[in-house]
Amino acid sequence: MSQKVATLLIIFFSAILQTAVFSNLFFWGLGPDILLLLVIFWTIQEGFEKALGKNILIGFIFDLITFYSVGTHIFSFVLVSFFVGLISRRFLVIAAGWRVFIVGITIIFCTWANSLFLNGLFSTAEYFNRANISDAPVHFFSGMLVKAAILNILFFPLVYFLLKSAGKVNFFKTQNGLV
Amino acid sequence: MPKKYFTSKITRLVFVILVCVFFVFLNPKGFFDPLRGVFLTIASPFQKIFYGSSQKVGELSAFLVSISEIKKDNANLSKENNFLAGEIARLKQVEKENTTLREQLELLPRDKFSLIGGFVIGQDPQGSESWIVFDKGQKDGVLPDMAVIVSNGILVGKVAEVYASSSKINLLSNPNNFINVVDVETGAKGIARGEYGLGLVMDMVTQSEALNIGDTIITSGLGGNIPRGLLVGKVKEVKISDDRLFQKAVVASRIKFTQLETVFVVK
Repeated sequence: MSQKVATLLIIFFSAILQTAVFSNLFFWGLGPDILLLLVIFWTIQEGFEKALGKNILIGFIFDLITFYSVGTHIFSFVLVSFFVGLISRRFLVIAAGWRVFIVGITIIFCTWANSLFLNGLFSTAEYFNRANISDAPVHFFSGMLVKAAILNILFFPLVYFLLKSAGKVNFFKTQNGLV
Repeated sequence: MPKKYFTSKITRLVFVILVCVFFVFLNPKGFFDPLRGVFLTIASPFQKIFYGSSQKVGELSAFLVSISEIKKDNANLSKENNFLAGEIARLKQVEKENTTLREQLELLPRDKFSLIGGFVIGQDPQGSESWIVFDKGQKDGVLPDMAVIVSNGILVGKVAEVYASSSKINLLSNPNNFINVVDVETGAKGIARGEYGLGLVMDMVTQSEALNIGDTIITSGLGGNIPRGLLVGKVKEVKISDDRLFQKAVVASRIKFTQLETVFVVK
């Protein structure tokens, strides 16, 4: 129970940080996508299936707080999580030195893939004349996407160590020993 | 189909994707609004505290970065102070003229609006200057489509969605925001909306009307709840539309949308 409450609080305050704090702190007017980093972390740690509930909750809370149609970010985060699951199962069992590099590449890929999935959803919505699901543009192959990827890579260690510390007090148990 | 292609992982993925697509495409956007309202009521106090604190930290860091510039600025400000003392006398005369002109143009005096003041407590995390969250909602009398200004009568956007204790405001730079505007100098009428890459544009101005760089653009008061006379910005660039039927002006707003702290909804 305490694990579920802790998970909910982490997701809730991460969403608050992303919408109310980061845009004021970073010169680029864009902060790290901390919720995407949570998706990556939990998928690597627990695998796609076990992290699915958490990832749906992350997408749901993010949709609520950013006024998107509910389902928009659940869609992109679950797809991202699926691919992270595939990558982590195949590549993260290799030597420790390479893991950092692979996680870095995974974060860049996920930042890009998240935009790709959102763009795909918005384009399809526009095609079916339901364009109002998106107010904001999603950066795709743009400078902003590169900045987002850099910020995500820089912030992943922070997310990793914070959640690992939480894990030490028995909130998060490593399931597959990869992280 | 071979069994290996139909694992529980793929089944779950497909199920979640289908449910999401169902909610996004087939359900009305307002289906989750009651739940969103409750969530925003819970989140609003936290957003308020975090947004306010982070703005102060942001300002402090910007101040620290610019500290070396302060000495130079101080000297410049002293010079400017002397110049401004002379300007005050001149502006008193301009103020009189302004009052007369506003009366002639039938503009509402900017200090006579009935306003609902409040704080910005969140914004689009993608940094696209598309929307902000306002800490007043239905309980305070905020309604959809009301104009949102900063204290001196400069339009920043209009209310898009209203919940019990907070509202979503679509900024001028949002492509889904359409506001009727007029060029003060030439009387050319058009629609102000956001455009990716250009910021704010005045669109749908017929070829027979004149648009000049430097012209002042204000709200026309036609349609909707936006009163006439709110400043939108100044014309920065004039373009011809692709079909050559209309002119389009890139408008520079005086507001930095990402740095908004306090805004007012015009009742």
